Order: sequence, then C-alpha cells, then structure tokens
Amino acid sequence: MSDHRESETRERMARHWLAAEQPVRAYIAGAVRSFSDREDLLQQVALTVARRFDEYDEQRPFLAWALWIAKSRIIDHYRAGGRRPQLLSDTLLERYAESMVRHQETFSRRREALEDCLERLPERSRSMIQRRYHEGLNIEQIAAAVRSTPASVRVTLFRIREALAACIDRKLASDVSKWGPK
Amino acid sequence: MHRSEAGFRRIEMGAEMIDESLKRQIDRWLDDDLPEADEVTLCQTLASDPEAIDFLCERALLHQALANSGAFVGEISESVCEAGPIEQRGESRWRSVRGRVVRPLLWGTVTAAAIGLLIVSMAFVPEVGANPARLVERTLAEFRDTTDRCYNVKIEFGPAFRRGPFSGRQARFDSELWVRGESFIQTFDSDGQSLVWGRDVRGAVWFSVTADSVAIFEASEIPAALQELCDVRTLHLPTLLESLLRDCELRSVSSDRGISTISARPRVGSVAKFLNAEIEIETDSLLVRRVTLQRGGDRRATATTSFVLEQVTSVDDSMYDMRSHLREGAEVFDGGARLRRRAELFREFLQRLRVPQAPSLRSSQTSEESS
Repeated sequence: MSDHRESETRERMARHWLAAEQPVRAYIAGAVRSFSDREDLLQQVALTVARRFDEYDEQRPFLAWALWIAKSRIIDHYRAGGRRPQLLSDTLLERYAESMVRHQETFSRRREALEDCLERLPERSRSMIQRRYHEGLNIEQIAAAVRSTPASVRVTLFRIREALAACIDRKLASDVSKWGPK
Repeated sequence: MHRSEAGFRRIEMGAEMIDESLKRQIDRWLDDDLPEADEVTLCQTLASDPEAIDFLCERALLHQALANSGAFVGEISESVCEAGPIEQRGESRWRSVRGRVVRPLLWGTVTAAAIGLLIVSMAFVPEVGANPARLVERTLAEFRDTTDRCYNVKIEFGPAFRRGPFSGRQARFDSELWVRGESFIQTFDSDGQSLVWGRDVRGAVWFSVTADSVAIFEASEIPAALQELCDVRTLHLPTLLESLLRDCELRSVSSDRGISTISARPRVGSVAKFLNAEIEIETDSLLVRRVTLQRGGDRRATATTSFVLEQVTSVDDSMYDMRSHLREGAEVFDGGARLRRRAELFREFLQRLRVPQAPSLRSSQTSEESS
C-alpha cells in the first residue's frame, strides 16, 4: 500500500472509530460485567477493527460492522476458561446490536441534551454523578464518602439517572416539535 | 411520522412500560454492582421482554455519555487548559466552555479513549511489534491485576548444582501457580506431600507442609529470605516487566503468528535477579504466555525457572485464602506466639523446596520425643 493511500485509510478508519467508539463501549458494558473486562474487550475490538479494516464495506454502517466484531469478542470472552454464563444469549446480543445501531441516529443529540440537563441538576446530585463517573468511585466508596449507605446511594443514583433520561427525552421531543425532525 | 421520531417515541413508550425493579437491576449491572444471584433473573427477563433490550441499550448509552460528558475529543485541549494540575482535580468545579458544562478531565476515560485510537492507528505500523521495549512497555501499561492467571512452573536445576551437598535435589520440580495482583497461591507435589504457600490480599505470606499446620508472616514481618523467595519463585508481572525495562538490554528473538519472543540480558551493574530472561507475549492481547528465568552466580546458571500460562480466568476469592488449603483445626503459628515453631516450619518449608526427600522436622521430632 502506498504511503498516501495508507494514510488516507488510517484517517478514514480513525474517523469511523471516533464516531463508533462510545456506542461500542456502551454495547460491551451492557453485555459484560466487570470494568476491567470491558476495557480489555474494547481494546481487542479496536485492534480487530484496525487489522480487518480492509474487509469493511463502506456502503454499510460502520457501527454495525464494529458491533459485529464486538459481539464475536464477547462470545469468545465468555467461552474462554469457564466464565459465568452469558448475560445475553447470542441471539440477544444480535438484537442488542440492532437496537444500538437504531439509537445511533439520536446519540449525538442525546449527548448534547445531556450536557444541558446536567447543568440543571441540583449541586448534590451533580456531586454524586461526579463521584460515580468522573472520580470512578464504586457504590460502597461513594457511600463512605457521603456518609450514607450503599442502598441509599443506589436509590439516589437511580433517581438522578431517571431524571436525566426524562430531561433528555423532553428536550429531544421539544426540538422535534420546534425544528422538525433532523 | 419521520423514522427517527417514530423510533424515539417507541423507545420512550417502551421505557415507560419497563418495570422499575428491572430498571434498577440494569443500572446495577452497568455499575458492576449487581449481586450474582440476581444475574440469572436479569438474564431471564432480558430474554423474555423485547422492550428490556431497548432499555438496556438506552441506559448503557446514558451511562457512557455521563462517563464522557465534557470530555469529547474536540474539547480535550480546552479542558486540559482549564482543568489545571491533576492534584487539584478533586476541588475543581465544572466550568462552562462554549455554553456547555464541562468537567475536569476524567483522565482514565480519556486515556482509555486515546489508547483505543492509538491501537487503531498503531495496528497499521508493522514495526511496533518488532520493537521489544515498546512491546514490553505496552504489556506493562495494559496489565490488569484483577484477572486470575494460572501458570505451570518448572524449575530445572543445573547438573553442577545437583552434586555434593545438593545431590538430593530433583532435576525438575513442577508446581501450579495462581496469581491475582499481589496475591498468589502455589502448590507443589513434594515427594507425595502437598507443599503449599501463598500471599493473601493483606500481603501476609503463609506456608504449609502438611496441611495440618500453617506458618504466617504478616506483611510487616516478612524476613528477607522469604521476600527473596517470593521474588524468584512467583511471577509478579509488573515487577518483572519493570525490571526488564529498567535493568536489561532487550532483543527480539522471533515474532510468529502473533507471538513475540523477547530476550533480556541484565546490563552491567544492574540489580536484576536473573542471569537472563526470555518472555513470550501475545501481541494482540498483550498476554504474557511464557517467562523463562535463568538464575545463578558468576555468570553460571544454577536453575532455570519457566512459567507457562495455562489459563486466564476468574476464580473464587477463596482460592487465595489459606483456609481453603488446610485441614480443619490446623495449627496456626503466627507472630503472636510460638515464634520458634514458626521459624522451624519456615526452615522445613525451605528444606522441602530444596530437597523434597528430606525427612520432616516434625516427624524426626516426634520420633525423638517417643524414644
């Protein structure tokens, strides 16, 4: 491959990967339990995508192709060395990937809406989200940090997420009614 | 109605129809907080309720967006400028950039994203695999100390070492070693007796010769000889990889079918605990498949220890708990009392490692007592 073509291919692939990485991460997180296993799998998927990029048909959605690779890696992960049973069967993994591709249409708008919704959160809720996602604390650690119980932290986080999801839905619905479908 | 709008409403309606307890279970799963017992229930519900998969998808995307909020690639440089030094991150507040709320960077997420992109880019550069130091560096950076790795360990003693006072030594000595982070458990079949030792999550080192008794050294009281033994007999990969990078000249021996073999020779004056080492790394997964260490003095190898990866899996925590390897009611000798007996057990353990056929100190004691 000439230097120029190789550089073009690499750029195309990097662009595709940047757009798909978050949904691929979310897909793996929904199918695999531990944080470290999720990171390992993401890197395996990234490597496979890079190695097999010449097999990718540009006429088809990149995310669907990347998720197909992720699905195979997840199945391998569960089958290697007698792990616990898969949370999602092979058929469900397929359905989950289809759902992820459908959600991709609205993913960037939902992400932007989330930023606005986060601004409106009360300080205490925002601090809880910060501890959970930005400082990477687990439920027990958050409970210790805020002098509460893990059960109470779980309930609070659940309510915050519900509030954020509802806020995002409202914003998207209002965008659609104001500007028409994007 | 436009397709995306229709899809959105359907999903929204679906989410409303989802039972709240299922939503909570899905959140707990995504938080890596769901008890194992509830996994089966969640698994069954996801299989039987088509809307549940859509909700899982929506929620996984929300968790992902929350973890990444304000850390989008286009904003990285501005956020880095605003975030200030890492030490101050805990006190920082979210700031507004271009009308958006951003947070001080979550370095882990950004690093992981950068690594993902880096991997994608690097896969096109063939010489990456051929650079042994870079491969060892990547292996060290990607090392996960939460997985359980099982190695078959073989120690082969050189002929010179089996003469004279060491003539009782077996030429080869096999054992099974399980490692998770700092913890390990190693079992030997020593002349029909099961010899076992390990380090638990607190850092205490323990060993047992007969499963009827155990000697324990807490992390703060481990003698130098025992520490030395931990270093050379068990495989603490971060320590080894750091030593390879710091103390050795690295040379690529071969690279075939995704496996790179690297040879390491300590630089003059280095503190490496081996004469030379060879390490096999899977270039895709960065798993260390085999390590061979030659030990000895005056540039002559006295023993070769090889660690061959048997499996990478997840085992129960009890594997590293000494109680799982002892008989019920086993005597415990720790730093609290009977220090002499603990020292004797340690001596016996070392002797068994060196000369498996040596008579047990305890049995010789018993016969002395009876006579």
